[in-house]
Amino acid sequence: MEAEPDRKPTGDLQAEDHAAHLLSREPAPAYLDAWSRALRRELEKDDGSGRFGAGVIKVGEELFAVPTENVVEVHPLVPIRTLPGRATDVFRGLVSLRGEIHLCVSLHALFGLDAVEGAEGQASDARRLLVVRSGGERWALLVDAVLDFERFDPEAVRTSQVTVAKSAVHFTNGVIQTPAGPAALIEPRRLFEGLSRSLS
Amino acid sequence: MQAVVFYVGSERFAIDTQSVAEVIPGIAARPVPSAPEGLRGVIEYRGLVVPVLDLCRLFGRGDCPPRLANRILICDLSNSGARWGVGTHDRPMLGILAENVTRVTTLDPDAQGSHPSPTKASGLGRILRDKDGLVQLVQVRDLIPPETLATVVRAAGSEPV
Repeated sequence: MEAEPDRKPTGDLQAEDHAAHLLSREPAPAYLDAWSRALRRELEKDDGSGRFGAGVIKVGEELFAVPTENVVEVHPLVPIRTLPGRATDVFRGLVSLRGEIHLCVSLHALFGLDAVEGAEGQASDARRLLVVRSGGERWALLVDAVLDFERFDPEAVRTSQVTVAKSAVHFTNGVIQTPAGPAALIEPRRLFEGLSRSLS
Repeated sequence: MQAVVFYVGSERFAIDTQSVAEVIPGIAARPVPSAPEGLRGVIEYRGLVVPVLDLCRLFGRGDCPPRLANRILICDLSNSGARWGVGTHDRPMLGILAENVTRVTTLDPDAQGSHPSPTKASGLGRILRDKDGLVQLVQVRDLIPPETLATVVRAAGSEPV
């Protein structure tokens, strides 16, 4: 971006002119309104209460939450390379994300939930790969949607599991209330153990 | 030192990044009755009432035009000892609206060839040189007397924003 004093007018300079031109536009009223609203809010401070972040995901019709510290990234769906003779309902195959090979698993079968398949176009567009890590392991989880990332109070985690599908109970740590409804909090360690078992 | 560079008209100025908390878009400020010259009004920023100074207006160049590159530098005056006197949540911040707030540069305030400000205008510091030319430092805390700002903030804070 910085202009060298002896630089001749080249393509770069034109690019700079274009940037200057874009920045000299008048901002849209909606843009300024949105910023005014966002800036009015106080920043969330770490008040030492131990609040934790979690990503709220959808598997079938059920909501789950994955602690942010275990989330590596949310990735759009990529082709899954199946391994002949090895693919199961849980283990779907391998995916290549940023040059790294990940084991791709579907939580539906593990949790005993029906997948929201392409019948509802909207639901299938929302499908994502959620890369989760714990210890030295990384897995790519095929989920029906990643709704939001929220902060939760550890006090608000309830042990009641009535809303959670029975077979998912083993992999979760309690239930938290999210704006979209109650979500079962996934315990990645237990989930990974379950996934490893299903592979062997 | 690192400094945020901006323009007033065709002149380049810079503010030490250490006194800049955030650079935000030029959102609308709520006008304050009988405000001092150069003051656009106040904005609500992270739960604080922050007065916004229009540098173009202060330097006699008319109102700062609405453009995407014309932004507000939120400056923290806590270290300068200024207080607005508005209760427990008193963190004195000042918004500076300027033109073409688009880059940060490295300046050497003690470099040879730097000049003291040729004018007596308050808040203007030394004139330095970087590879894009001359740039004059702005001392945020000296632009406008803190007592004047405190009066504005207290007046604005006493009515619902």
